[in-house]
Amino acid sequence: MERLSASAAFDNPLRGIVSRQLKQLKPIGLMLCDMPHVARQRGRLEHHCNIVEQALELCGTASFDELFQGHPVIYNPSKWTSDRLGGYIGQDGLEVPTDCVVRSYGEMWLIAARQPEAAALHFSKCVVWMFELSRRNLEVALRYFLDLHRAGYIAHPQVFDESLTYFARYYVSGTALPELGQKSRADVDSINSLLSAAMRAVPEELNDTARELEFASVLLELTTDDVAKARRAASLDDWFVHNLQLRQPTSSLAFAYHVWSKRKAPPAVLAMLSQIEEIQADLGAKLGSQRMLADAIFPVEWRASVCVYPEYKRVHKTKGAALDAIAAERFLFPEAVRDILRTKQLLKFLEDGVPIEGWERYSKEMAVPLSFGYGVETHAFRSGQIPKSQIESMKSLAAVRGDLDMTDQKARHAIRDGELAVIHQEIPAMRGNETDRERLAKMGAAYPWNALVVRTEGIVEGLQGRVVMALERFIDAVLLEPRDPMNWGALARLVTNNGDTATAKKLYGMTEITMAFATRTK
Amino acid sequence: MKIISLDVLARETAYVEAQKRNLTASVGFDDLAANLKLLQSRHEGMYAFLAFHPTVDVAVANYLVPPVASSGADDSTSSVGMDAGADIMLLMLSKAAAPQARNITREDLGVGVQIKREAHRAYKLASRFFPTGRTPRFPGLILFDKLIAPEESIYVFLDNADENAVRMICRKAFEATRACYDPNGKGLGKPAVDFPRLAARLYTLEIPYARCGENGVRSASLLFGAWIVKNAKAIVTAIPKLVGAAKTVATGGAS
Repeated sequence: MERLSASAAFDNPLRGIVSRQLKQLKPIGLMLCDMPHVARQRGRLEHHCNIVEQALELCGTASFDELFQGHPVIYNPSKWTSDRLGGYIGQDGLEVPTDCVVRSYGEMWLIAARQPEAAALHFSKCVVWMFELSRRNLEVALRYFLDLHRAGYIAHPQVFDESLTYFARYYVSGTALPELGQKSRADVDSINSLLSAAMRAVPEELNDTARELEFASVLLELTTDDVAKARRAASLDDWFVHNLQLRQPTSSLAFAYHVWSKRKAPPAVLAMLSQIEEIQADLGAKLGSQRMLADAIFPVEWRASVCVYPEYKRVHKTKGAALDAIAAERFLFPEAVRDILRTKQLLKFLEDGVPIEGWERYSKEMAVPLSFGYGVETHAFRSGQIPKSQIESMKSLAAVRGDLDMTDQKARHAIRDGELAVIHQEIPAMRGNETDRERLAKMGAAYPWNALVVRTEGIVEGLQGRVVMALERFIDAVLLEPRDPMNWGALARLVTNNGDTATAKKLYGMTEITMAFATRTK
Repeated sequence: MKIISLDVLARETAYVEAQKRNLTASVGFDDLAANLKLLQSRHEGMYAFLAFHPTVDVAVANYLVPPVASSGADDSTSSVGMDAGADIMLLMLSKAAAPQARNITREDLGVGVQIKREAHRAYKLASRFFPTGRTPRFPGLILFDKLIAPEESIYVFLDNADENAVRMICRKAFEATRACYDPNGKGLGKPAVDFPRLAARLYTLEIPYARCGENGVRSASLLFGAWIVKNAKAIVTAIPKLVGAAKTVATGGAS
């Protein structure tokens, strides 16, 4: 049997898992912020954060600190070592150990799930503090707020809206609390009382349109930069994250557009707002339709996010230059694949997908974030369309049973549930022979994020003596479903067999921890 | 500093003006001349056009986009948008279009690099204001009152010593323009800049300028609209920075 090579990627599988999980925090938070259903995910979120924290602790927090250099952070109520309320790690002497960062994520999410108003106040407070700390520099404060959002701390659209409105009111009303900038984490109580007294004095209606316009224009400028960045996205994962990051800021600006289009404003500002409003409309449709498709067991991949384009294609047919104008100004279309829209017929496009590396489907790293966002377990994401004939036969089968009003959607769900049941039944009976492996490959093709399938693939690889392949599969299984102790256990056993007892011990520790969690939550 | 193409700005203004949202966005609003007219009526203030040659007039180029070596890649140090403010729409030629507001780059400035100074498009436009042969000294900043058919204008000479000198002159000129801006304009009820007053002010500030004669303005107004329409795709406008303008004025002068 081959031994594990000492290559960097494999020398400590737990380290690799933890660093990938830490990178997932951002997309998870952003996905939660796309739709206000974080409350439903509360239990799972708590569970997930606990696992990440435990794994991080076993690995040693300090070794990950480099990962978060320059990362925006906001203080959390329970575990915080700095005397500042937030900022960027490594800047202005702000040192925050990684476990505190993870705690900030977890707590911001859970507060948002329990009490969005409380979470909004927390963000507002820190942004106003940053504003006063920077000697009332609007750009610095707004950038900090947007960076917190972009990093995934804000798990609820209501939290984003309320904090932004709060800060806007603070700014537009001209409220000034310069003493706030001198306060530290220890004075949070006095910050709270100062702020609430000051904000109570702000009248309901504000009429300073010049300051309002200032506020909107800074938000506009920062968001315009993000739109440009989104267009230059390198992969489907990257592009999707950028889309999520733009969702809330563009919504706020679309609102500003509808207010300002009826008022006096510099034409350049109105033009920029108008373009952002268009992008926002497109973005909402795109993210919304992808969510609907995920609900209806359509594959969550590139094609799912282009279903709003037929209309543009129609325009393209009649007006050549118009499509370029739309692609450049109106919708968020990644430059990397823009030519495809121009040259291909839409139907062909939907059939073939995108023949560009990194754009066809989301990578495994996105499985957990998408799963949180769409409320679909990772094992249930199906790749590939369910054939129409299969849906029809499912419906006629239901009709025979007396269920006459089965919809396509219900039929899709029934088909998927049936397929998953088969997987669960067949896999324990597998013996790793040729037919089993073929069967497994088919399952993996249909359900690429199914941790049970992936783990079984790893076992088969291991039995064949391909340890490195087995290890990769086991790591994937853990990442896809970190709550399942079996995934940790499989990895632990493999590492033990290869003589790395120190890591194995930690992995067995994770097995026990997840087991304890699993029994507790059940 | 951010820029946006003039034709896009005009089209988008027409779209905003229409007060409705279309599936195909602003596509379809493609009557450029009409759009520009609308833009003119929406913009309450002055216009300024920077006439310079990208490689000959390095000082002006450095003012627009600070050289990377000194500013460290971040072009936000360029204060042009802030200097001009929202009341003065600053126009210039750009090599690449800006269908969406974006940061200006050094490459954008490279219009007509191979063309010698006097034949450059920007200068040709400036010369329109001086048809009698008294071609002004370049580079310069043209301040004018209307986008399509200017009725009054002033040409400010930009000292070519270095970008700080250029910045200083531009700032003072913009400031003077704002100071002479009368929202009720000459009793005609339309906001306007009092040009004789502006000239006097520039004179006191010791900023070299030239006022083209009546003939000049008439000939310019005939040609200018056509020139703008023809070149709209190559013209970009600076996006005014609405925050921090007051701060800049307070500290004043070269940074």
